[in-house]
Amino acid sequence: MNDITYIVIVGIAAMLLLMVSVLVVVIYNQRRQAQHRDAMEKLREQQQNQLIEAAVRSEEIERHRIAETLHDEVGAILSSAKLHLLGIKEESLDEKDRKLYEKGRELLNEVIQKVRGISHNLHSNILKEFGLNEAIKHFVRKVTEGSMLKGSTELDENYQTRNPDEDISIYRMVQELVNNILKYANATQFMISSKLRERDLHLVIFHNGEGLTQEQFEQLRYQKQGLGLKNIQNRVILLRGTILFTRAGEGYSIDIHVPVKTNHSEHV
Amino acid sequence: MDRFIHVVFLWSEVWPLVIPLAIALVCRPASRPSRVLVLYLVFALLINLSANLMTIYRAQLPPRFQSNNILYNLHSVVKVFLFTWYFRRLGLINPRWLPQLVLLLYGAFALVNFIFFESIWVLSSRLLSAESIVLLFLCILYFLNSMHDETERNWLKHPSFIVTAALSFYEAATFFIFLFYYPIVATNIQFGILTMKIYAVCFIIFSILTAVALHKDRRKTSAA
Repeated sequence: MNDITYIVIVGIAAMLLLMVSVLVVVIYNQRRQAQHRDAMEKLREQQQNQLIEAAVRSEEIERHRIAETLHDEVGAILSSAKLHLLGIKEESLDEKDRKLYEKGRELLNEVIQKVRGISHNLHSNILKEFGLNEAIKHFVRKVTEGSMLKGSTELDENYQTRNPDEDISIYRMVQELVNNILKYANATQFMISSKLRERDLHLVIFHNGEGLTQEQFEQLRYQKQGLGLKNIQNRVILLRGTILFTRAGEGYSIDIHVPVKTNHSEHV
Repeated sequence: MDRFIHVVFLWSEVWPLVIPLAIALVCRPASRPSRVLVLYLVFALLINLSANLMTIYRAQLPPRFQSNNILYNLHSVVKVFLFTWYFRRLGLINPRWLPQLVLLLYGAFALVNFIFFESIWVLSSRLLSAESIVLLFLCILYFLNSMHDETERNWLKHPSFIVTAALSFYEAATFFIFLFYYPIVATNIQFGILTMKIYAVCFIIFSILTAVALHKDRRKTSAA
C-alpha cells in the first residue's frame, strides 16, 4: 500500500469519524433539549392543576363557611323571629292585622325554607353522611319539587365513596349541569345515570331540551358568561376525567368519565 | 451476477436519483426547501444520464464530446449552488448572508481555477474537493444552529436533518477521494477503482436518505 492510498483511507476514516461525532453531539443536545421542554411542560401542567385545586378548595371552604353562617346565624335569627311572631295572640288582632300577621308568618316560613335550601346547596350534609348517590337523588328531588320538570336517577349502587373531595367535585358538576338544564334547556325531563366500571365512573346526564354540543361548550367556557362551565372544566381537570357534550336522539347527553382507583380487596 | 453488479455500478449515478424523484412525484413535498432539493435531483439526473450516455456512445460522438468530464464539473457547480439555496431557504444558518458569501467565494474559485489553472474539459479534483469543503461547512453550520434554534420542537425529526446528515456523510467520504483522485489513478489503479465504487455506494445511500426525507416532508392530504 503506498502513501497516497494510506492517506486516502485514513482521511476518509477521519472525516467519517468527525461527522459521526458532530451528529452524536447534535442528537444528544436535541434529546436533552426535548427532555427539558417536556419537564417544563409537565411542571406548567402541574402548576396549573395546583392552581385549579387551590381555587376549587377555597371555593368549597367559602361555601362551607357561608352555609354555616346562614344556618347558624341567619337561620337562628329567622327561627327566633318566627318564635316571637308565634307568640302574638291571633284572637287579639283585628281582621286587617290578622291578614298582615298571616302574610308575615307565610313570608317568614318561606325565607326560612329558602335559607335552609341555599345552605344545603352550598354544603350538603347528605353528601358527607350518605355519599354521592344519595346526595344526587336528594338534589334531583329538591329541584323537581313543584316544577314541571321531571327528573329521575339510575345510579350504580356499587359506587362507594373513596375520596370525599372527589365526590364533592362530581356533585358540584352535577349541580351546575342540572341548574343549567333548568335555566336554559327548556327541557321537560332529565335523567342522571351512573355506571361504575373497572377503571372509571361513567355518569350520564340526559335531557330532552336544547343542549350544548362539545364545540359550543369549548367556546362558551372561555367567555365571561361561561363561568359555570369553566368551573365544570376545572373540576374535570382536577379529577383527571373527561366530559363530552353530544346530541343524543331526541335530546342532549353529557357524559362524564372520572377515573377511580380499584380496591382489590373488594374483588376477593 | 457479476454482469448485474457491473451494470449497477455503471449506472450508479443515474438509477439512485430515480428513487427520490419518484417519491417526490408521488408524495409532493410541501416545504419550499424540499422543492429546491427536487430541482437539484432533476438537474443531477439529467447531467448524470448525459454523462453516462456520453461514455457508452463515445465512439459516435465528435472528439470534443468524447469526454464527459465537463458534466462532472457542471454537476459540482450546480450541486453547490442548489444546496446553498436549500440551506438559505431553511433559514437556519446565521448570519443569513453567509450561504451567499460562501457561494460567491466558491464561484470565484471555480472561475479562477478554470481560467488560469485547469481546463473545463478535464475533471477538476480541486473543484470537487472545494465542493466538499463548502457543503461540509454549510452542513456543520446547520447542525450547530439547529442545537440553538427554538422554532422547531425537534430538529432530529425534521426532513432537513436527514438530508443534511446524508449530504455530510457523502461529502466527508468523497472529499479525500477527489482530493487525491489523480495521484491515486497514477499510482494505484486498483485502489482508484475501489474508491470509485465507494463513491458510488455513498451516492446510492445519499439518494435513498434523500428519498426518506422527501417522504417525511410529504404534503398532508385531507384524507390523512
